[in-house]
Amino acid sequence: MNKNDSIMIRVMNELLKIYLFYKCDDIIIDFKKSDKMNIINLEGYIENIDETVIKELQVFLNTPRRDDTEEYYYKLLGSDYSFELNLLDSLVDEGNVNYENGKLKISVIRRI
Amino acid sequence: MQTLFYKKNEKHIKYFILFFYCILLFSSAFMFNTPNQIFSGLKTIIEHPDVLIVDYFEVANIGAALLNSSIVMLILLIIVKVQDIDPNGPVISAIFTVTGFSMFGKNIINVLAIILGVFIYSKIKKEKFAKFTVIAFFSTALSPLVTRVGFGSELIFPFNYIFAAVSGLLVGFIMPPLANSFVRFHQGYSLYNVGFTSGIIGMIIASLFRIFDRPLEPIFVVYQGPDSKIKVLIYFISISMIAFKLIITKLDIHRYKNLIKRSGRLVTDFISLDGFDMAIFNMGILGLICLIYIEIIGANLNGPTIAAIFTVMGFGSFGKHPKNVLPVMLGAIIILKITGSDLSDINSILTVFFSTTLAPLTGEFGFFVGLLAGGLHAALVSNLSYLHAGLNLYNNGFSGGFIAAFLVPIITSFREDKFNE
Repeated sequence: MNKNDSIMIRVMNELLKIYLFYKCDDIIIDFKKSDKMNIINLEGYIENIDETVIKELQVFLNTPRRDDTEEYYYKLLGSDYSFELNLLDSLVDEGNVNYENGKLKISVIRRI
Repeated sequence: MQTLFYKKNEKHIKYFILFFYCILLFSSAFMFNTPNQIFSGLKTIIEHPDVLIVDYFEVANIGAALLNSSIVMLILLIIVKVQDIDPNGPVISAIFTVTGFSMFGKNIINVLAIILGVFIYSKIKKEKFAKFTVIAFFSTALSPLVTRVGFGSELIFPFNYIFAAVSGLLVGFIMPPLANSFVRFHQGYSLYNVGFTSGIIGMIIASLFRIFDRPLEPIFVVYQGPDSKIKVLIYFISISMIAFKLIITKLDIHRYKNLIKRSGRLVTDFISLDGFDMAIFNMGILGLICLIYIEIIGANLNGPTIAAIFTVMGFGSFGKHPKNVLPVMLGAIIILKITGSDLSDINSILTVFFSTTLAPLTGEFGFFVGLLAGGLHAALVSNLSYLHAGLNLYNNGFSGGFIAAFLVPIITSFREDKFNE
């Protein structure tokens, strides 16, 4: 497995943790891989998620990707101990968060 | 108006301030010694075998140590600028740490050899060196190995320089995969991750020296002379950081309160989260806290002490703030006091300042865990330097990694998850 695949698995773990934290028990994960980019889409029903969390996620997923922390710290992503949204933002190029009628959709793009 | 100007020019302002401190260190050198003394001192610094603790203030002179420090800082800044990296928390913490340690253990030659080793690794992996810059800077923790191999034996010129360079290249070459892997050991709760990695490498290398009957003898040289002029310089650096914040944006206590709410766990970059102005303000505050502690215990400033202060200040942009460092420092102080250690002794000072590598434990789990972590760190750290024979300058990072790895699984098994912070 190359490093990029390893990063994508960790990104997916980190996003999945959000759904599991909010007691979601039915999550659809869609992963697309091409030569130019990797895309992850997740969706699931969550009751009573705080609006500030949605806004926070939107900001985190759209802060510019950073090379300098990627190599050093990417293995912290997806750990058992806490959420790593600060790190997640530096590893993905763009993201989108949508919460409507109880359905939370998150999509992230990481360009190769 | 100030804020608009700052927002438009943030990257330029960062570079301006970093180059300002570089020039300040360079010009200050000539206030302490004559040019002749400084340049002959610089040669001594390069060729002196370094292990913990070799204070360049003592083996050369203060002027030479400051010049060495400023040249190393300039090299790092050029590397960052050439790659067009936006100086953020990890980069600034690395620059300040390496600059500080260039007063005891790091110099132009041993730093460059290791950075070049990391550069070669990045080229072989066909990756941009920008991805490895932070690792490359922190990897210089093993600088003593370079000078020890080259100049700590009977090798003559040019073989001493060749052996020094090759050992540095090798260390730099193996550091990226190891640093990347060992960060999981402590889960980001010890900020000096490369210190832990370097401790492991140093331990293996020191064992090889011992098994081939070439033990590395300890060296302990620390400056004990007058420090009033150098103290003025370090106070000026701390206060000017606070002043810079007030010049570029207005004082905003609310934003600072937000910053000190953060746990500081890797990767908490205050510059991207709270802005460079808040980070530099925090760095200045941490510098003043260290200086006030030095005044209280009545200690002298020297190379190692200034390195510790610079490191704490540097990490003021990347995980440390008064709320998460003070409990760990207090924990270390209590254990040192109980065990009868002299708080003004250099080893005690370094233990207290560098215990702040565990600041994220306070930030994440609270005051008492920070206190406990600081105390355990003070107990463990003195047992570890034998293992790597002083080859690892970040001995406290080595200890911090073990303490975090020991405490975090126990604590997290008893607490509920929190969403982010």
